[in-house]
Amino acid sequence: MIAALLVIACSIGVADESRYYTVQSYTPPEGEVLEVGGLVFLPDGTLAAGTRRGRVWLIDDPDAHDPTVCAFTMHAEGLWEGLGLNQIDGDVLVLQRTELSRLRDHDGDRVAEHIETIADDWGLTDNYHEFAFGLPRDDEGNLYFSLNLAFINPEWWHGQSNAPWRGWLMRLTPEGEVEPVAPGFRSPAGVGIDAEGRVIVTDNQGDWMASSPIYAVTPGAFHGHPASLRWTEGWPDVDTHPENKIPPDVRRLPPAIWIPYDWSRSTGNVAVDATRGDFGPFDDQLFVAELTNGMVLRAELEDIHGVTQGAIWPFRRNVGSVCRVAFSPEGNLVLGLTNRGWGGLAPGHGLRRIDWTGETPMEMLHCRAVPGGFDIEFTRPVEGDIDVSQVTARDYDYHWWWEYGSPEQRHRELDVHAARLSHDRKHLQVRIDGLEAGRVVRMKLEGITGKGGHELLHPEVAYTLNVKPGEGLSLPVAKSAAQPEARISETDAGWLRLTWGDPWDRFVEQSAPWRLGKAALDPVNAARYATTPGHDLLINDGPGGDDLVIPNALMPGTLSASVWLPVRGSAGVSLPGGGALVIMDRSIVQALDGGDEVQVEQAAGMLEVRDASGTVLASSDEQWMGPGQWHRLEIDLTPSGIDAIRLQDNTIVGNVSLPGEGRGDLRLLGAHAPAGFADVRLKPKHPAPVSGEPMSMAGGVVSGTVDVDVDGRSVYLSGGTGDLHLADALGPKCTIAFKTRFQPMAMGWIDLGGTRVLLGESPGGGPMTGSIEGHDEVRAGLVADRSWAHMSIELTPHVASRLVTVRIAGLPVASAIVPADSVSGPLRVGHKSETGWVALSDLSIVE
Amino acid sequence: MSSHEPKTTQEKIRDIGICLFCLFIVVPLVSFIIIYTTWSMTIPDHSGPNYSPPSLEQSAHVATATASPASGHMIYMAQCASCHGDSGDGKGTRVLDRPARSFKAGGFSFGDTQEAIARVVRSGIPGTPMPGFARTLSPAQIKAVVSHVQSLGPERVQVDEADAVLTVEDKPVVVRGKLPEHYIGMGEIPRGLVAGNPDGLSFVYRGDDVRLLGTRQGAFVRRTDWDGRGGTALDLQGRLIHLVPDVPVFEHDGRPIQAKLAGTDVGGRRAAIHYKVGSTDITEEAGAVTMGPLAGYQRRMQISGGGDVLLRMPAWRTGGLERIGPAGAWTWWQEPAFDGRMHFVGVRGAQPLQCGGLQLPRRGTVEIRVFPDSPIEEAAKAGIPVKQAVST
Repeated sequence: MIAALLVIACSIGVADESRYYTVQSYTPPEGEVLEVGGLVFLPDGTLAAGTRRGRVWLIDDPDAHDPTVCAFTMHAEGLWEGLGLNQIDGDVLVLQRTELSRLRDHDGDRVAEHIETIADDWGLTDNYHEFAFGLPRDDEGNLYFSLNLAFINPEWWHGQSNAPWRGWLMRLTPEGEVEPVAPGFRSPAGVGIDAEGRVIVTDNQGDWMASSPIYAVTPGAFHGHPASLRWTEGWPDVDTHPENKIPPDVRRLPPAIWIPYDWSRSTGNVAVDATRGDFGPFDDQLFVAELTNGMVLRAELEDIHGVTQGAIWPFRRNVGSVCRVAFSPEGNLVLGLTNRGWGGLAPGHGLRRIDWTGETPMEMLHCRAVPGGFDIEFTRPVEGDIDVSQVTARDYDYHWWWEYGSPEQRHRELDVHAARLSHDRKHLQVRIDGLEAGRVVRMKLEGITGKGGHELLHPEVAYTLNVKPGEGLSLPVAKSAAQPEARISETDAGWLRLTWGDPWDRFVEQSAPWRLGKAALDPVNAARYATTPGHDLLINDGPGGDDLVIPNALMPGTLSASVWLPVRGSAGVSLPGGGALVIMDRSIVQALDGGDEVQVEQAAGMLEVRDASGTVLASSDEQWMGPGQWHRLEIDLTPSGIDAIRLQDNTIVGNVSLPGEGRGDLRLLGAHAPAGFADVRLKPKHPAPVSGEPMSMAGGVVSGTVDVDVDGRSVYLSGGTGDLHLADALGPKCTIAFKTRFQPMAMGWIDLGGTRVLLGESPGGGPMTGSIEGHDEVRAGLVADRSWAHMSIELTPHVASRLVTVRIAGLPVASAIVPADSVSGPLRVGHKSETGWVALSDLSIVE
Repeated sequence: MSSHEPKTTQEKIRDIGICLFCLFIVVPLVSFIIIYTTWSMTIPDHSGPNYSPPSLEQSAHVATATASPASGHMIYMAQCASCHGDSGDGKGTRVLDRPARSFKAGGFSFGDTQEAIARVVRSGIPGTPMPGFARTLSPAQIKAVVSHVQSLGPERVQVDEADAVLTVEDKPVVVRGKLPEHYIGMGEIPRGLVAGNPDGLSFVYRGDDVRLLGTRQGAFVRRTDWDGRGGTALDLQGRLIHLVPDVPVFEHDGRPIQAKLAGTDVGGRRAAIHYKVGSTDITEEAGAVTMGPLAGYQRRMQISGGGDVLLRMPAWRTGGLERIGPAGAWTWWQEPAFDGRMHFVGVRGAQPLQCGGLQLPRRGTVEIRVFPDSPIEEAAKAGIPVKQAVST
């Protein structure tokens, strides 16, 4: 009865799916909250379910027509979670957080009184997030399990590996040895073995995981999250946090499938359809648990040029927070549900079952990559013809970075130029122009009906194209990316962001041929950019052209930039004393079709420090990852030259003498084309060149409706509009020095007696810090919000006027000649914003 | 009231409150545990430092006052609805390059606990349009809006407190989990075992080296990790009656050697712990025991396949154990406790050595009895089930 109701309930939401696949629920014992973390069928057909509450239940006759009548017996309790189950000789094997155990029932009462510890040789800290997931067995008898990373404040989504083998796939050999298999995982909640014997690991979207991936694991390979690399042989002991940077010299194995974010956000395990038709036509395919969206997906893998990749489709929606899937002896798919603390579609716990009704849905049975497109096979012959306009395709890739997930990047609508149906009407050849390796292709088939009037049940497929058939070049879908904005604004206090906001602000002297865009390697010719409008990269795809000049921006301190080059591209940065630093891609390439097609064979590059005459003073060929990759470059400048040059956080050049006292204009060299820069920034060593005795902020007169809070030597202005009186008069020659910071959208100013220097943002939300209102605007977003920046306002007598010079961290950013009486006091700090705040601290006036 | 950094007086008060709390509650409490490590039957359980920091209460009061559902809804409509939609369906008016979360479906990337959602509200999700509100909303406002967000989603699994309290009835129970801090400053113990017996005693072992850390009496264990994402420590509910000093336990060839857990058994009258020390297999059972006027506990170790293994009696390492001589098959010592009183420790079946260890036999049974410095009448008064205990 209840089952029938459930079937009806499900059928209301998704009528089409439930026509082919029904969902029913088991009834756990009264009061038991069944938070399922592991499932296994025992040789006698009994289902064992492990729960996050550390219990193992035996469920009799799990294929019973009415699952609500199935009897539950508690087999064990007191375990610490059970997120993976298997069996040996009829005994349940359970993967607890702390150990892998065998449950033995010696007296035959179905209660396992003996919990045998089979293995516990892996590290565990006190972090709450160190789950262990498993537990499939391969043909050789190895049991596989994965170890979650720790999540620790303040960047609490940012996984750390604080004990050996956290973030690794592990296995227990038949000899009883625990062995690490492969690093690079984050929250790998699903481990499985597919029909081909591949070890499958699913991971969860987060830092370094652009979306939720399905990996076909290569033992020893690095799978994408760097935290676990610290336990690889030869990794420096001192480098305990590899998760903070792109690892050097480590090749990354791309996932076989990137599951689209709208389909999966918390992927569970996979089950292989070995039912030989009992579950429908999907022999050997993978059924994937998805917790957040409460659905089951279907996936298929293929090997092309030795690279595993494949297709994925939604299969059955609205099934609840499914974390575990397993096929029953009679070929039904049992679902283990849990969402506690993780969040997911209701129901959030319990045990359910998907049964095939026996009617074959119209589905894409296979979607296989072929040269120039895809071959799609349907489960039923297509009724009527298919016009090419019924097939649409788009593709995208991702950022590989330490932020939480990645929005889809570089979207393209693809041109489908052919869609041909085979004679048996079951195969569709789709041909698409401009497919590129290293992208996810989403194809949608509209208005397609299978024989018998069955509409195509799931019209969309996502195919992860790591490699194109016929071409050996494999590219990762998730590409190394410059640091995202959010991290910089929160953590990088003291930096001046020279190319943020509007880089064509007059603060930067605009020079052709520099322009802004998004960049990718031209898929045919890796020596060219494929650019689209955007704000990712300052591009000079020359040849020739002028330098992009940022006046006075060389000073003792650290200069940093992200560099991105195509094959044979080069980028240059000026150095004090007329020298230059030049980075060149020197990758070995393969030229085809008379040179029109250029593909990378082996990445290589060179960095050189040259003096004014062009003589090379130092060079390095280390740390270059190749064309189309982001490289973070840092130069430590001192008055006597260069202290160190780092690429990807690794020092590659040290100690070079240069004339020029560490100062000069910063030039991005235009003659070395093509080149791309992003996020050029400066951290001066002496950000406060002028300062006097800090003034007291207490007791000043407040005008207007602004809220004023004094906290030591700092004053915060928030809410309303108004100002705080700081000093009565300003001398004709003086320097006002202070620190300031602001919240986004906050508008603040220092009023010198009529002339205002702006802090914070403009009414429209753009950066304005450093601007002299009405005279000289700075829109370059030099200062990250919320971080303290040193500023100074220098007044110099100039006939009957005053020259006003504004510096941020010592860098002159604005100047104007204004009437003397507009800068002679009183000195006030003001603010106008309903929500934000502006702060001023350590104010001094030096005559 | 705008809420920016300097306006965090409440936070400061709260922080001070927490410090005071640590100073006046946590420290004395921990000291209390340490001081009364013996089976101190005369000490009433409910005694202890009696301090309630007013500032903590005050800040809690403020938080409660502002965290009404109405204000949560108002904050939500002002700060969240434009992206997440008025009803939380993720369909706000603002166009984003990644869709905003639908709260109705109940999916939360970082978890759906109050703490997890509050963290997202405070810090935002970098790489997405979700901003942080740490500086725009006060802690109380964040709490209110999180409650509202939770109310928009499906009903959450609530742990029934009674479910999470595990009891030992007529059969022993072994529980695996993280242990709370046992020795001051040593932090939580990630791998732990607690073996509870029907006689009312429970034995707390570290999992990594199967070392007995302490013996407790009374209620058993409450699982705190059945809420949120889990991973929190067991709440050991019994009273600590013997804290075993933290020194390496086993030696082999003159070097410390770690025991390795081989399993647990609850088929018998008492929980059994199986472990290996090198090639030596040991099965250990522990439980209550009385002897004449004394009440205490006994560890019985069944040894097989043995090598040259030395068991360190922990206090011997510090030189504090005083041998009071053999009595029949037993050899007796006095072990000074933290409060200056003396435990009686007896050993049978192993050869005591001058160097401060017991030479374990290759095969056979070793018994170790520990009697805190208390007469049996006091044990009875304190509710210790002396009748069920093994008598000699």
